[in-house]
Amino acid sequence: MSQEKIIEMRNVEVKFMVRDRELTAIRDVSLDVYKGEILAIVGESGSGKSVLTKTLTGMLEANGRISGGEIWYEGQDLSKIGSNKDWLNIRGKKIATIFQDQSTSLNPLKRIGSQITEVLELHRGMSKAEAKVEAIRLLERVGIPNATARFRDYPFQYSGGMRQRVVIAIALACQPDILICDEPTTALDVTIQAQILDLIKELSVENNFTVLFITHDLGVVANIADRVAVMYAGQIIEYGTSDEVFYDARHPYTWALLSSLPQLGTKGKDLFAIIGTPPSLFHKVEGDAFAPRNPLALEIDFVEEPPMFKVSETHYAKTWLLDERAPQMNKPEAIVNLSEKVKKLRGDLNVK
Amino acid sequence: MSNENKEVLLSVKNMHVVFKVGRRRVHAVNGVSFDVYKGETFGLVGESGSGKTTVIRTILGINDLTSGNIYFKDNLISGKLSRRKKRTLKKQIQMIFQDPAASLNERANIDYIVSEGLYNFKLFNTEQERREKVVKALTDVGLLEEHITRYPHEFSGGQRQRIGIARALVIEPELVLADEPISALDVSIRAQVLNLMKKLQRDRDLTYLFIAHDLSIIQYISDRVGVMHNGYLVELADANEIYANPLHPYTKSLLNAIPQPDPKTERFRVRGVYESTDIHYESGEWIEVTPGHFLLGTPEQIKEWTKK
Repeated sequence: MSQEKIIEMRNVEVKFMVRDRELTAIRDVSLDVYKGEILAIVGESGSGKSVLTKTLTGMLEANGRISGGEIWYEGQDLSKIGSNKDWLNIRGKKIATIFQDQSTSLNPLKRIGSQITEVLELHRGMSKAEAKVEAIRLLERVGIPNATARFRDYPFQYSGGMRQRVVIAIALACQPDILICDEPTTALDVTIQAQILDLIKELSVENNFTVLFITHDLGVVANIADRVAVMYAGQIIEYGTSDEVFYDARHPYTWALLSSLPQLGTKGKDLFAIIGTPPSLFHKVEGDAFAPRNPLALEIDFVEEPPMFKVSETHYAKTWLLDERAPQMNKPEAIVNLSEKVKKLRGDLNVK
Repeated sequence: MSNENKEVLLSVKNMHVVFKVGRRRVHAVNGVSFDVYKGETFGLVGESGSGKTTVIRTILGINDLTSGNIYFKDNLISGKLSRRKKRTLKKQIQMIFQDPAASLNERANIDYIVSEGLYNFKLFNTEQERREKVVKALTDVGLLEEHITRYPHEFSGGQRQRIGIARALVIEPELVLADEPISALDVSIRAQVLNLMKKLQRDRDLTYLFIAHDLSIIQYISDRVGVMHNGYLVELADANEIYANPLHPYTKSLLNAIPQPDPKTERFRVRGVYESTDIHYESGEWIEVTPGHFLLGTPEQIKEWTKK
């Protein structure tokens, strides 16, 4: 991981008009993405993780707009791009996205091969013959067995995991700088998920691209991410390296997310459950958005929004607990010595 | 733990389900046998296409059984049944679905959705009694009385799943078939719903047949676990046993694939690749290797898998 920033988001705000009411989906988010890293963005649905990455490719729904802030990429402020034509130089070409549902990402009426060659011909100016050779190389690289023969298959002839591999091959065809993966493994079985994660990791090193990985699954995050940003109610509430967020989380919401994992549950005892639901973003959120669901909330959490407190050079958290006046609070028992707990679990597994 | 003196509530014997797709015949379930004991949670785990959903749909009678038998409380419930018998069964066996949005009638209010079973089985004498039962069902799953007049779209995913649970439980079934009840829910809501299901089970002595593809959830909630692959039940054991001592290579690969919330473990993970083509399930026998721990395989395979 380098120190060179590839994306700089400053105070980004995104609003949507929903039935004549205004919803603030992203509330003042600042985030740097470093070249070559895999950054995971974690949060529950509605936390804004997908919306945030959609601002990078101009793919916000028609009722949404970037209402504030700046997004710097290659000396250009992406938040100011107006025309779709300008986006075409970035979307797909430099910043590609793969989505959760592989079946809707592919055209069911076109052969697998031509869906890749069209990208190669359009974006990389290859001839038909060159594109075919390159497409088969890409299919082989993402692990499609017998790629030459399967080049002429249609999407329905592929399994879900194979289709996701094809989607990855299409994304790679443009040799992007940044690959946004929006829950790419959520619709897949665990065994296939593991293979796809390995593939994304390998490819990012091989082709030297940066990955923004959106997921709600903390197990997946631990597997793939160099750094983690946790989102809640349209804000990043904690970010740091994987080790910092998993072993030294500071925000009560991060604690709660980790503690509620069934992997860490004790049989016969209740799982740690987060009470209630996230706040409505139609209204202005007062104080710390997580406070109403947080049994450890301080009085100030309901009144004033906490700033980002610095934990280390790479680790920040947005909670009043880090203020010097706050009382000492320990993280929940379930996630103390996380590594030992998981090791014990997996030790019991007896799996090599 | 001895399973001998436990009461068998549901017994599936040598279930085969074959679908005809055009001229092709798809063997969705191949000779699956298992018992579900009263009061336990039996977890059925497997990847998509493994046949786990077909198994419970066949138990409910939604899919036709090609051969084999299903017994509920020692009564045969597969094959041709009288209308009356089917009715009683529906009261005794209820289902909770995966997608809480798709499984609720969006044009009906919560009162009607939860009452429908009560109407069908005439489980009330007065209007007041019906309403009391509905309110009780709602409060039992953590919803409020005032929700009774609302419609499904006014609720969040977790709340909708609670409505689905209330609807299933209001007619007081004995066996609940739960088809991935929490996989469509958000991470922060999953624990709530799992805890609720566990609590209701304790309070009402319910039996769950719980399906999931996520072994970590199955491990947490189940007493016993059956692992399915390609329509075959390949291993069955106590949940703790299957974790501590998985024997079938497929079970091992499934356990190994669970992503763990720990960067150190994940960084040094070595993945085993499972080649199902190496093992011909059809030549295997269903053998009890240790008490309560069953394995599908030929005697040679089982010898190989069980050697330390």
